[in-house]
Amino acid sequence: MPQLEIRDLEVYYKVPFGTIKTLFGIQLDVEKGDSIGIVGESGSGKSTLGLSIVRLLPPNAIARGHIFFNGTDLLALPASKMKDYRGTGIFMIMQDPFNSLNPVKKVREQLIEALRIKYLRRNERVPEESLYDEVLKKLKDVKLPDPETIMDRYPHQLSGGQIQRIVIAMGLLLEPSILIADEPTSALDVSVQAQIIALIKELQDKYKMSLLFITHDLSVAYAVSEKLLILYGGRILEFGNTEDVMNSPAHPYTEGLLKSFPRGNYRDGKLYTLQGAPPLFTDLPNGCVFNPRCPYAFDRCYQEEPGLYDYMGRKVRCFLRHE
Amino acid sequence: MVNAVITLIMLVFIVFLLVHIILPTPQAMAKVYIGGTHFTQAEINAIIEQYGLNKPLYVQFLNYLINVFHGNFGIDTLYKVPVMYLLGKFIPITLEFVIIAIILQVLLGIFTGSVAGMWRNRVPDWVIKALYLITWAMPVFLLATLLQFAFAYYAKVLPPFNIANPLMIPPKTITGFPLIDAAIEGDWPYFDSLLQHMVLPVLAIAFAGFGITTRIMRASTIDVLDKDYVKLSYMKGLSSWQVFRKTVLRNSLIPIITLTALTFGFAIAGAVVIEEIFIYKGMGFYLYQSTVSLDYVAILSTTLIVGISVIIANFIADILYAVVDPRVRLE
Repeated sequence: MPQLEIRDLEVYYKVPFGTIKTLFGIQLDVEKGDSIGIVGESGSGKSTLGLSIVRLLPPNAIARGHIFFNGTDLLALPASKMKDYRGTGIFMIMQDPFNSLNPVKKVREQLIEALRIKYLRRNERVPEESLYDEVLKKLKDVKLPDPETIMDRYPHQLSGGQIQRIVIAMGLLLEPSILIADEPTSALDVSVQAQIIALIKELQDKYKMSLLFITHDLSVAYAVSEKLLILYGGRILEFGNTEDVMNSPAHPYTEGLLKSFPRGNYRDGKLYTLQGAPPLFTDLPNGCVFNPRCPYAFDRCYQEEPGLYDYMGRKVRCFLRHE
Repeated sequence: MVNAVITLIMLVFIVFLLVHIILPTPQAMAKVYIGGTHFTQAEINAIIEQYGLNKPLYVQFLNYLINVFHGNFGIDTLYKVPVMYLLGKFIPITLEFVIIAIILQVLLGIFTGSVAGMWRNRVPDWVIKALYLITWAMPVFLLATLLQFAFAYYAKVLPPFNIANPLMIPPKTITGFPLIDAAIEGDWPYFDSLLQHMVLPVLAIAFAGFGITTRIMRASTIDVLDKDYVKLSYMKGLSSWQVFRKTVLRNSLIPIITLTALTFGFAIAGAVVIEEIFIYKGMGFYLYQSTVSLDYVAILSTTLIVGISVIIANFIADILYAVVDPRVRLE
């Protein structure tokens, strides 16, 4: 049985003049130890997907469907029970490091607070000093220089990279079985970005966690993930092994994405651009959601919506791949 | 500090001008001193001469300022005793119940604001909104009169006026604060009487003012709830109540500090009306009486004291800010 099974997940937002649907029939299995890159442009619903798994969507959002975590349907739980699955079960790293830590508490207090929860759940009593030592050890694990000093700092005295390492350390302290990272590197400098990605990858192997890595950057997803999920307009357009998807993209959108990222020292040619912009959820096209930007679109694409078809060991939402 | 002094001088200047608009001639001012209708021209001239009332306005103003900086607020025209003596008697009475009222008001505001913010756009939010809109929209004197009618005259559970039972002998004045003096002397029946008489004025000020605290607290809570660090706090596996207590509350309290310093001014201003309604003989009552009888020396001094207390309240707020929020450093 997969660790996490997402079935027919749909998310709606209540707005003053009706509802807006932002996720459409998401199906996803996460096996133990999987690392899945979830790639999409802004407004594709990728953050909504992450937040609906941990049930931290804004109050005006409604999630329908099922999210089974080790057999328990998280969406069917009463709100007060959900806390038992967060932290030690599923942990999520937020996008903006400068807003991730409580500004009025020292780093040390915030990390120890997390650790206490772990031991409380295991019904273990641990003396204060060993909590401190464990925090210190984890901060060394995430390669934070000078952890003793940093533990007595407030978040505003730290850099984005340092905070992201601290948040990752917090995740490790809780020993979650699934780690969701929502664009953990997009607010960081490129050099720091690479370090954080390498760190997440290394720790995932070391602690045997499953990883859901949400990003808008295909090259980042390629670096961390074994499976790739392409999200567009709230729908899965392609899902398969990262290598396969990168080498021979099956969906026109994936193909466009791949063509439009600059590669190494290749700079003389003209860079391919995907025409148009991602659709607004208030104004989705008829038929295939990608049809306004698709170079191969034909009549059928404007009339009916393609299903998610099996194609060469992958799943693709395109009539061209439907035999 | 320099700013505060300039603000105070401006304040005194404005009140000084107002007094001279109401009493435009030296003769009119001298008549206030005499108080009655039986006086001779010679008496008036003597008073004008004694207090320098016929000197140019700016000389009078400078003289007044110099005297104030020497701690001399002048002689009260009505009671014929130094104003300092009267203020020393009345200020503690007012400060005592106003500070209690503000504490109650802020606690009430924080509680209702947090509840409204945590349950935004749901029933508790609507109920609280209705409550504070009614109390906030109601003039203080109406609210105070309604409370007095309901609890003192209709239900007869609380005394309608005075600061304590007038038949009881007040304890010796030590600090000037009646409650503290009664406690030091161990005069508990008097202490109890003071408390009973304080309930209605305190409730009137707290009810009239808590709406603004509720509103800001609600907005601040909603603002904080939206922050990623609240999500991370949930991610640790804390319950909603723990997230509120450990993360949301302290962050959303930050704007309340400044707000409380500001409402302090409102509360003191409200005290003038409240003390008149409940015949609660403190500074507000004194200010009201002096205004009615055009006792300009008292009006000037009381205004100055109110100004100083508001500035002190803001100063305390700045210090508290640095204590609560580590991002703020005191220069």
